[in-house]
Amino acid sequence: MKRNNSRTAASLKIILVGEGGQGIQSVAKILSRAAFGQKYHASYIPNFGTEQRGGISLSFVQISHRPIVSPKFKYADLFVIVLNRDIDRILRYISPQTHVLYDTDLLKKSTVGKISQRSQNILPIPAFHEATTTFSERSFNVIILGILTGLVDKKLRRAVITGMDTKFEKYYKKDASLEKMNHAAFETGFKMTRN
Amino acid sequence: MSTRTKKTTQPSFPACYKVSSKPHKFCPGCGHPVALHELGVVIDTLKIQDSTAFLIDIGCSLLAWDFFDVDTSQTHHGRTIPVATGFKRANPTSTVIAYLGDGGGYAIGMQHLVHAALRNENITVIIINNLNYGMTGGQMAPTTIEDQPPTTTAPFSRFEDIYGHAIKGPEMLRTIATDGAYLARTSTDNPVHVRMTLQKALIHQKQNNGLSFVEVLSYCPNNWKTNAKETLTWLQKFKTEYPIFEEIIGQNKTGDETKQ
Amino acid sequence: MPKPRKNSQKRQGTRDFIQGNAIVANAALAAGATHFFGYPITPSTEIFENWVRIVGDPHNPARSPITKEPLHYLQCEDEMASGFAMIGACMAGKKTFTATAGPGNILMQDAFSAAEALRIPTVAVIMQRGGLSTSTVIYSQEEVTLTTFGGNGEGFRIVYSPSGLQELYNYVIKAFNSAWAYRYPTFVLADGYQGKMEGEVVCSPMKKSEYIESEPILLGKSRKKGKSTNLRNCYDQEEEINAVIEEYKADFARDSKKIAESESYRTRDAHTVIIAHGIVGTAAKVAVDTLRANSAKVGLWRPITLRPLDTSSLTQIVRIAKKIIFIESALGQMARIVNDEIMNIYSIKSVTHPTSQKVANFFKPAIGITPQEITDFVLKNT
Repeated sequence: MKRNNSRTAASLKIILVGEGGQGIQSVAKILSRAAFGQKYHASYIPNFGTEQRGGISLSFVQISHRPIVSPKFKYADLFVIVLNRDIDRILRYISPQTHVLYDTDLLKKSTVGKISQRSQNILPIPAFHEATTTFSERSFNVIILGILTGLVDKKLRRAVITGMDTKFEKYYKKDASLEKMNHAAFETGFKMTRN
Repeated sequence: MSTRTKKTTQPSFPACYKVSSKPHKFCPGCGHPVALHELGVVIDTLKIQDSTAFLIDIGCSLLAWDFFDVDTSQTHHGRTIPVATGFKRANPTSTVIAYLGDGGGYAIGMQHLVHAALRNENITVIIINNLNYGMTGGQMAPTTIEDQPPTTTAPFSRFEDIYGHAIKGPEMLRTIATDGAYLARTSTDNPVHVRMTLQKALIHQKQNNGLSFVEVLSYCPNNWKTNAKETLTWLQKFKTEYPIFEEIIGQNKTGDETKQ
Repeated sequence: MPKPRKNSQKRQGTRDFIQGNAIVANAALAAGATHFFGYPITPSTEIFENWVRIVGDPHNPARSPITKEPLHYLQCEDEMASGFAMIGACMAGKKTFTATAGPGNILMQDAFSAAEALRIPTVAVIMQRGGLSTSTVIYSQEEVTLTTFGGNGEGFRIVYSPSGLQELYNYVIKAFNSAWAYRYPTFVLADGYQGKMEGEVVCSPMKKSEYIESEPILLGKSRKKGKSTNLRNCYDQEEEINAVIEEYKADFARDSKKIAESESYRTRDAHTVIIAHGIVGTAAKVAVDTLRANSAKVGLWRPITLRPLDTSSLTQIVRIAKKIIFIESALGQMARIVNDEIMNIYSIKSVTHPTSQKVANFFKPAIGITPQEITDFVLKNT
């Protein structure tokens, strides 16, 4: 996996795109907050509009060594898409320099085609496959979180896991096995970034 | 007219009157000064001059802004009840009166009246109902009825097939007010009854019993274009359309003013 | 009255990672606010919801850290009720605020006009969304005209336009103190991006030296002395209201000197000066640094108060700038009021118009503006 030079870059601009309900906003919030806690400058903003109820879920995350000026940006450095829909208007955030991660199971071939017209740096990730075969569909976003942590800064691992556990505390109380599964799912995603 | 005196040769003003603003600016024969005089007597009786906030609407009621030596503010048309709501919630030991006309209460401010009733706000709302928009020259009001002196925007009549029928304010509030709320209608041709009703309403507030609402049927000879006799006759007739009554929601109601 | 501090004040305390709208609620609490009346509208709703969370059980509400009184809120039936209930609570002497946007801001102009006429110290936080009617719920800078000169008033209002989350916190606190010090309806004019983003801020307590206490307007000191307060906003004769307006104009001119704030960033030797506010001002600052690194003599004049404008600082700018570039996410709403002031500076203050001073406009209504776009535009227009 070609690293995005994220640790040396002044700032990393990440966009996550998913279906409402896949837990994409949670990934963005946990990651940005963890980065902030580890002395990065960070910002996060969801895409919001009147179609937000039942629509796509989009978030803008920035992690930087410098103070962040504006929550939104023109092009992403890292574009993660796990959406099973035609989303032409979202593709505009992809430049030739953008690294795109897409889920192998979820994206249509035509969408992958459109993406590759904008950037050659595309990489399939088997997150959904891993989630549904090894864990459960609920842990899909946790695998994504693991992947992103590995790409942004491996040293964020502890902080992200802690943040994840804090966020899902209520769910862990209801189902004790969830914490263990989340940790395992996280590691699965995290390890994917080793290659 | 200057000071009040115990002799009966001059009218005695309530102590809470602002003498410097008299004679008042209301039209001759208007019902507002009747209602305001009775309100003044009640404020004196209950000794609440120093703890009352008197909030008035824009319409004929605006002329009362310096009527009393009581802390007063004009608001905006229809917005008197929200101001009263905010004031009372911020100063719950004060007595707050929202004083409006039928337009401020039942047209532009109707939703505020409805929600104050739903929330049972602990304020006293007084609506002076003269069946037209007085200050702007006599247009149709939500309380204009078919058979009354004509209004300028319904000069033939308030044709119900075109304009709908009039609103009976306290009757409407009956269906949505909370148990314990005080609702009443009185009329300016019976000042003693006005006084008693307003007194009950303000005591209701002081006892933290929730909303107190009084509609006062009132004269408007200027826009009705009536002489004194006609004015009184019309008001008598309006009472069949707008009956005098009082009620505490959830308790027994009294519907006949002769019992007073 | 202490002179307002410039925006560079740093707050002592822990850095936190919070949503802009939540920051507003925190700031109101820190400022000694006790009452909130509002109506949900995107993108301001979380201000209300965070205040609700702070208050807790309304039967047993949390207390103000400043006044120790119980906190209060009411969701009103609409924005008109919210604005006027806020006026009522201010009249009772409580620091009260509301939050709205777009169509809600329009409806509240009824109340803001009343507050302007009656000199009631309301505080409203406006999270600008797209202009023109319902529009988007997201972002614009298109409520400048509405907030500075809305209603049928003459703009006797204080309007702060913060750049970024720390200023959002600082100026919400300042808004309460300015409102009660000078008695004008006061606004913090932010936008949906600043409201909905999560980022860094230091939420520290208000300094004692900043704090202006509130007092009842009705049933206050006068009443205790046996004198009634009778407030009117309706007048009989032209001369009466003319006299009131002239009196307010004199008050506002006098108070402006203490209220007005701006930031002049790298303007001392600038040939070109960008004029931008709010979140666009932040982007402009980055663009200025980029341009300076490439030897372009560019600076930024950022109004922090849109009402009253910092005329003395603006005067320095118009004296030196060969080119002025207005940048905003609106069709010149901020440019219009600044240009108006510039005209005053030339005509009334007799400042000579620098020969061949040029103006360029970069107007992008309802869309965010990046530092790169600003840099490109300035290079093209220098």
